[in-house]
Amino acid sequence: MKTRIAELRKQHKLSQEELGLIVGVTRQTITSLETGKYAASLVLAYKIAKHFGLAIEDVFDFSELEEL
Amino acid sequence: MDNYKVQVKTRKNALSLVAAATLLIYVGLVFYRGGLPELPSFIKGFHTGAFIGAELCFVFFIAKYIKANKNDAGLKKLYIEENDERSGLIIHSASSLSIVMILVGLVIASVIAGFFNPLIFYTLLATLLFVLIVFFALWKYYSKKH
Repeated sequence: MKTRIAELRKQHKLSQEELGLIVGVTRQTITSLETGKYAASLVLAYKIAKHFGLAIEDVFDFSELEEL
Repeated sequence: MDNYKVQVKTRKNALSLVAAATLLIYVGLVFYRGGLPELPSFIKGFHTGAFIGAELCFVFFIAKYIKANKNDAGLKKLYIEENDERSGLIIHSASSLSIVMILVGLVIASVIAGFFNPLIFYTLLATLLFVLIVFFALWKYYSKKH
C-alpha cells in the first residue's frame, strides 16, 4: 500500500526510529510501511495519521482497495 | 508503562528461579549419574550442551530485563520490540505455514518409517497425534477467545 509517511516524516524532521517510538512500532515496521511492503493495522494507521494531524486517507492510499 | 515495568520485573524473577532450579536439577543428575542407565557419550554431550545453552539463554534474558528496567526509554523500547504489529504478523505467518509443513512432513515420514521400522513408525505417529492435539486444543481456545 502506498503511503505519504516518508514525505510527512521528513517534513516533520523525524527519523524512522523516532516516529516508531511515537506510534509504538519498530524502525523496521516504519521502513516496511514506507516501502509499501506492509499494510498498517487500523490502530497504527490512526496513530500515524493523528500524529501528523491528518485523516487516515490523507496518509494512506486506498485506491488499490477500491479497484477490488 | 508501570504495569509493564512490574511485568518485566516478575519475568526477571521467574527466570532467575528457573535458571537456579535448572542448575540444581542438572547438578543433581550429574552427581546421581552412577544410579542412572549408562548413556552413549553423544547423549551426555547433548545434555551438557542443552544445559549450557539454556543457562546462557536465561542469563541473556535476565540481563536484557535488568537493562530495560533501569530507565523508561529502555523499557519503552523493549515494549515496542515485544508488541510490534509487523513482528507479530511475521511470527503468525511463519507459525501458520510451519504447522502445515510439520504435519505433512510427519505424515510422510510416518508412512515411510512404517515400511522399515515399527518403533520409529509408532514414535512418529505419537508425535503426529501430539502435534494435532495441541493444534486443535489451541484452535478451540482461540475460537472462544476471539
